[in-house]
Amino acid sequence: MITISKLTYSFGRQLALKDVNFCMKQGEFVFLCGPSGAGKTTFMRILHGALPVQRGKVDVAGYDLNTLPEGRKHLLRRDVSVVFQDFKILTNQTVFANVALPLKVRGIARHIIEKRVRAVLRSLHLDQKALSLCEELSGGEQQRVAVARAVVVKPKLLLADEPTGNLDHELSMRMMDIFQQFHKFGTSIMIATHNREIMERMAGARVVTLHDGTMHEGCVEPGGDL
Amino acid sequence: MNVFFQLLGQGIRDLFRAPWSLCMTIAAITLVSFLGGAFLMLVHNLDLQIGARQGNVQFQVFWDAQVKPEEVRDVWAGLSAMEGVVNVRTFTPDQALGVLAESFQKSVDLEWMKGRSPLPPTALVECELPAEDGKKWAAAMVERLQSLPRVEKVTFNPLQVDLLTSWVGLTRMAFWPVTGFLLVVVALVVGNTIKLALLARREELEILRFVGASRAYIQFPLLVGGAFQGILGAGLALGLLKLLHNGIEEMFNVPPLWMNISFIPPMYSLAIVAILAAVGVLSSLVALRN
Repeated sequence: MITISKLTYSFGRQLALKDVNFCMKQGEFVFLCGPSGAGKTTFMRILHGALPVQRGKVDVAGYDLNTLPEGRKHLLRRDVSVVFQDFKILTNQTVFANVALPLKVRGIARHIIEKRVRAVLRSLHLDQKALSLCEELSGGEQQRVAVARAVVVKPKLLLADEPTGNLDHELSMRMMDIFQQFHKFGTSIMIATHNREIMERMAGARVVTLHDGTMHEGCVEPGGDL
Repeated sequence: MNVFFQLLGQGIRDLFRAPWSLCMTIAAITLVSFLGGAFLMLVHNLDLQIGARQGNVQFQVFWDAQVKPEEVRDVWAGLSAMEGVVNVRTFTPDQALGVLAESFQKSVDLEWMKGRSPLPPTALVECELPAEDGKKWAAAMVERLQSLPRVEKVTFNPLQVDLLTSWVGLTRMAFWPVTGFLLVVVALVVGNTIKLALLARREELEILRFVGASRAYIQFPLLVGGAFQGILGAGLALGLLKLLHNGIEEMFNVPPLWMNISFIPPMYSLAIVAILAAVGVLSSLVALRN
């Protein structure tokens, strides 16, 4: 699903990623952890094509990001969905409109959109809020809208950047259950987080740590230890 | 196809999200297009005049003011049959009085003089000037007209055609620079509006990109918006031009001009709409690229 070799990225003189090598198989569940400023978001943004590959080789979902032109990046983004820490939802539009957006841009027929959006909203317990404006929702509900929008297209890979950053403990655990559910259906998932509690929820999951721009491997032990 | 129409509608709907900005842009495009259209109408009418009068010369024939109407009518009947004459317009003393009153824009009331007009019977005789020896022929024509019964005076202006030709030359010379300038103004106005729209919707466009919208999906509605602004501005400008035309259509149809102002032909009108739509699209494209 993801193959990265010797990826280096810097913002001006500040090095964000240094010679990162990484490999992720299809169907894997990976936690990307590390302290704030370790380079997690930069790493995610490169995987999603939001930042260019400066040095090294990156291949995501069959797309060679070293050569993928800007005009074809939407193809990558149709296979790779992202859940952003700040949600990035259209607050002045309804929950339904937000979740339907990725299907609409793919030109999918209205009746199919209706069916799929309703199903996803039901699974995330948002069906009662379908016609509510997102600005009227709580933080947890907005986060679920962002997740619904990411999974409605059945992506090959789901990247989530601090998806529980704005949620309390209970909601965070519920969110992890949702991710686990979609993982069971075959979606590869990578979650960037520094929340140990949510990692402990996923015993056996692979953990990679970014520290000062370099990557280290690990895994979550059944007891919850890294 | 469905998506195409969806985006088409979205492009127009999106413009109405900032109605004030849209109104200002449309007003600017309309005014600029109106100026351009008025200039085009001027050139078109000068062209028509030169086309109608090219190679022709007009003689104005004045009869004795005391002549009896039936006496003049017999002479008028024979005027069209004279060699080289292409058009004849005649005026009885009362008709001449009417034309005079019209030239005063009704600020002077001449109604009380009706039936005892002091003006002489007049005729405007338009002749085709022969290619060779025009001056000699014109002098002979003056003599022939002068010899008609009870004719008092014959005048003609050999410079008339030359003057008109010079005017057309001048306006044509100014046409392209003026048109180019007006188009640049339209492009800047539309481009800036689209830029403002892009800034206002930056977050939304970013989200669209992240959920997999293609470049065409994002840009097409904005290009449609540019075209729509151009078309709407051009349509309003044509409406204003028509109002202007209604106001001035008969204004110059008085002696010595006898000019009936024509509206710009349908093909020109279509060209104005098409050009402004294209300018709208192009300036939107430039705004998007920047």
